Amino acid sequence: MNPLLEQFISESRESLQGIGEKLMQLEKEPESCELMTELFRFVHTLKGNSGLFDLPELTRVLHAGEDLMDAVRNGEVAYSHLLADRLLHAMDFIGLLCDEIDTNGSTDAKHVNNSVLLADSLRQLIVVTVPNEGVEYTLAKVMPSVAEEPNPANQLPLSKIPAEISMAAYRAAASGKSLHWLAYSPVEDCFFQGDDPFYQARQTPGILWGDITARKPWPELGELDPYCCVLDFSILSTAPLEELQEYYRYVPDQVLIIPVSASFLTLPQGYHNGGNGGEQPHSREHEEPESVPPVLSLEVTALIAAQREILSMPDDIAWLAGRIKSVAASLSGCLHAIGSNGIIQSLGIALDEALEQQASAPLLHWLDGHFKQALDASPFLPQLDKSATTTQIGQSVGEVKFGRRAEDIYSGPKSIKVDQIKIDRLMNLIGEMVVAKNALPYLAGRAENVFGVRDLSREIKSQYAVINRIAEEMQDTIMQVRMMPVSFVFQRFPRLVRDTSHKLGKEVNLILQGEDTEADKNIIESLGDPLVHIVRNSLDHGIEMPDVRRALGKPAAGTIIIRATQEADRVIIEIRDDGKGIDPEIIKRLAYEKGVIDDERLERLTDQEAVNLVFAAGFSTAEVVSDLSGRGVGMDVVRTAIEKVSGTIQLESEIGKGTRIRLSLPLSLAVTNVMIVESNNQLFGVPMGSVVETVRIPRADIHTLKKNEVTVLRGRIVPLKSLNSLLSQHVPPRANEDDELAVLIVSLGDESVGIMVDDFRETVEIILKPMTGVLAGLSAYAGSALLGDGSVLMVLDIKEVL
Amino acid sequence: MPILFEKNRIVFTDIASGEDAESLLEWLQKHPKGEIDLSACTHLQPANLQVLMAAKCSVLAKPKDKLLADWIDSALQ
Repeated sequence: MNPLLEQFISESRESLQGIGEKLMQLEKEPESCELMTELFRFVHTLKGNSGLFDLPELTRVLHAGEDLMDAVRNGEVAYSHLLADRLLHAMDFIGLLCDEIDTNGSTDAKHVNNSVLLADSLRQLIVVTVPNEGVEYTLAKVMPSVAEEPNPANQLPLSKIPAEISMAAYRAAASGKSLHWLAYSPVEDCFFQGDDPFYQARQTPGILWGDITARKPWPELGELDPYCCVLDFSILSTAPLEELQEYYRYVPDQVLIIPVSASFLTLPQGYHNGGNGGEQPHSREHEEPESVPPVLSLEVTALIAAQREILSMPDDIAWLAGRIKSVAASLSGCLHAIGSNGIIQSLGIALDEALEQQASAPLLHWLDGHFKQALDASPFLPQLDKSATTTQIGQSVGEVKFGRRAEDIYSGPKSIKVDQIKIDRLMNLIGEMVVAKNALPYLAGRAENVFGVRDLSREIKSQYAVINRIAEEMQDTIMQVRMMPVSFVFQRFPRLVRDTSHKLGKEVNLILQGEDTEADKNIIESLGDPLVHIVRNSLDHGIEMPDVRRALGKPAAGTIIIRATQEADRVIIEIRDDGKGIDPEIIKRLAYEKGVIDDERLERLTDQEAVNLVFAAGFSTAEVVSDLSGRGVGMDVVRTAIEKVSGTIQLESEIGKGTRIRLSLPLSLAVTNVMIVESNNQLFGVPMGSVVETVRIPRADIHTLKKNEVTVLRGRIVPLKSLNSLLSQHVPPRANEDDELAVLIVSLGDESVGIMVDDFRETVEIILKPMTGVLAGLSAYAGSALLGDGSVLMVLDIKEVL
Repeated sequence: MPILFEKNRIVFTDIASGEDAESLLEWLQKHPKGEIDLSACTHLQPANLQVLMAAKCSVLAKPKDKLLADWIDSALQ
C-alpha cells in the first residue's frame, strides 16, 4: 500500500472516531451549532480526502453525509435520532471499508449496493430534495429479502431481442450462467463529465445484445442540443451480477440491473411464457422436482453426492464463487445427462442466489430439494445433515447488515503516535542500562581479585553476557524507532532547485538517490540546513549558465545528484554537481587576501588543501553577494553544523568537471565511543572519532623546534602537546619503564597532533551528557559520562583544548 | 479528420469525437438528404449518434464491426 493511502486510512479512523464522539455529544445537546459545525468539518474533510483515491463507494456515502450535514448546519433539516442513527450507520460502513482497504488494499465491488442504499437513506432525510439527484434509479437488489417483490423481468421488452440472441441467451442460462437486463440511463450532462455512455455500454462484460433508444421524441435539427444526452441503453448480459456492479460502480444510480430468468425469453419455437413469469424462484423450484428420476445411475449419484459434499464445506474461502460455479456447472452437466433439462432453470436461479449471498446454502438447498430421494437411496451419502443445512440457510436469509456489529473483530490502527519526549526518555533509560550493565565486569573482577571467589566471578560474567545481549537488542530497537528516512530532508529539494534555477536562469536536473536510507531523527534534522546551503552553493556557483555550458560542450542542463547510502554505522551523503568546479588558485588568492592563510602556507598548500579552505571561517568565494548564497557565512557554517553531530565533511573538485561534497554522519548519537586516557592520575575520555592512533615514542625521539615539542612519525612532523599543560597542570607527562611516552595522535581538520598522556586505557561506550549549570561554560569538555564503576568520566572536546 | 464531408455523403473513419458532433449537425442541417458511410467507423461519441438519430439519417454502409452495426441499427431503426 502506498504511504498516502496508509495516511488516509489512519486519518480516516481518527475522523470516524471524532464523528462518533460528536454525534454522541449532539444527542445530549442537539441545539449546539458549534458541535454541528465541527461534525460537518469532519465529514467534509473525510470526503475531500477520499476523493484522492479510487474509492467511489466511500466517496458516495460521504458525499451524501456531507450534503445532509450541510442541510442540518444551515437549519434546513432538524437534528433527530434517526439522523444520528443513519449517520453512525454510514460511518460504520466507512470504517468497514477502511478495514478492507487496510487488509486488501482496495474495496470489494460488492459494497456498491450498500453504498447506494446508505447514500439514499441519508439523502432521504434532506427534505429540500435536490433535483437531478438520481433517486428514481437504484441498483436492483437481488437479495433474498426482496424476493417477495414482483419480479420486474416480465415487464421488460424482451420481445425486442432478436430470435438468435434469445436462443444464445437461453443456452447460456441453461449452462448455469446468469442473465441480466441492464437499463442504463446516463444523466443529461454526462458528456461534460467526460463520460462516453455508448462506449461504456458497448464494453459491458458478457454483453449479448444492446439497444439504444431516445428518451423523448427528437426536436427539429435546429433546436437539437447534441451535448444533452437523452439516450437510454438496454443491454442483455451473461456476466455475473458482481462483475456488472463492478463495471458500473461509478454510475450505480444511472443503472438498473434486473436478473432475467431464461423462461422469460421469447423463444423462436413460438411459445411465449413471459406472461406467467411473476412467480418467485422458490416456488418454481418445488414445482418440478419429480422431473428427476427417483433412481439414478451409480455414476451420476456419485457425482451429485460429491457436489453435495463440496457444498457442505465451510464457506470461508476466497474462491467460494468459483467453487459454487463449478458445482453448478457439474450439476447442470448431470441434468443434461439424465435428461432432466426442465429443472436447469431453477438451478440457474439457485446459483444466482448462492453467488449473491456468497454462500453455498441456496445451491445445497436446491440440490437437497431435487435429489434427496435419489441420494437417500444411494450408498454414497447415508445421512443428510439436515440441521446444518437449515441453520446455514437461516443465516444467509437473515437481514443484510453492513454496519460493524459489536461481535465483529475490531482491528485497531497498527501505528501509534508517541510524544518524542517519551521516546527520548526511553532512549536515555536504555542508555543508562547499557552503562549499568558495564558495572558487572568490574564486579566480576572484584569477586575474583578482592574476595577470591572465582566461581562467582564466572557466573557474574555469564549473566553479564545475557544482560549485554538483551541491552544491545533494546538499544537497537529504540534506535529503529527513532530512525527516519533521509527523504524527510530530501523532499524539499526538487522545489528548491526548481525555484532557484528559474531565478538564476539556469537549467538544472536534480537526481535524488537512496531516499529510503535511514538515520536517527536528530541527525536527519541537523542535516537540513547544511544540505540546503550546499545545494544552493552548487546552483549559484557550480552550475554554469546554459550558453556557457553549451560552449564548453556540456549539456545545457546541469545535473545535481544527491545520494544517500549507508556504510557500516555511518550515513554517507554525497552532493555532486557537474558545474565548473572550484579553482584552487582563486581560493588560494582569496584566502591570502582575506588573511585566512599567510605567505608561507600559500606556498605549501596542495590543490586539495586549497579547495578545502572554503570551509575556513570567514571565507566566501562569491564575488557578488547574491540573496541565495554567499552571505558571508559560507561553508564554515556547514562544517560546524555537521561536526556538531559528529559528522565529517570532504570536498573534492575538478575544474570544469564539477564538485563533490561528501558528508559522513553517524547513524545515531545516543551512544558515543570514547577512549579513556590517564593523565596526572585522572581519567579523561577522548571521542574515538578524533583518535587516529596511539603510539609510544621514546623520549629520545622528541625534539624541540622553536620551543615546541615535535616528533617524526613515518616521515611526517607531528607537533606534540602535553595534556597536563593543556589543562594548566604543571606536571610533566610520565614515561613507562622503557622511557617511552604515551602519545595519542588525534586529527584536527587535516592535521594530526600528538597529545602526550600518562597511559592509555580501554575504549568504552558511554552516554555523553552535556555539561550543565556553571560547568556549561567550560568549553574544554564535550560532556561527562558515568562509568561502570560509578565514577564520572570527563570527555574532552579535543578541538577546544588544542 | 474522422469525419469526411463529401457532396451528399459523410464518411466516418475510426472514432468520431464529441467535438465532431457540432460540425456534423451543421452539415446535416444544410444537407437534410445526406447519407452516411460508417464502414470504417470503430466508435461514435454518443453526441454524434444523437445527431444522426435526430436527423433520421439513412445508412449507406454499415460498420464492419458486427456488434457496433447492431447498436447503430437499433438506434437508427
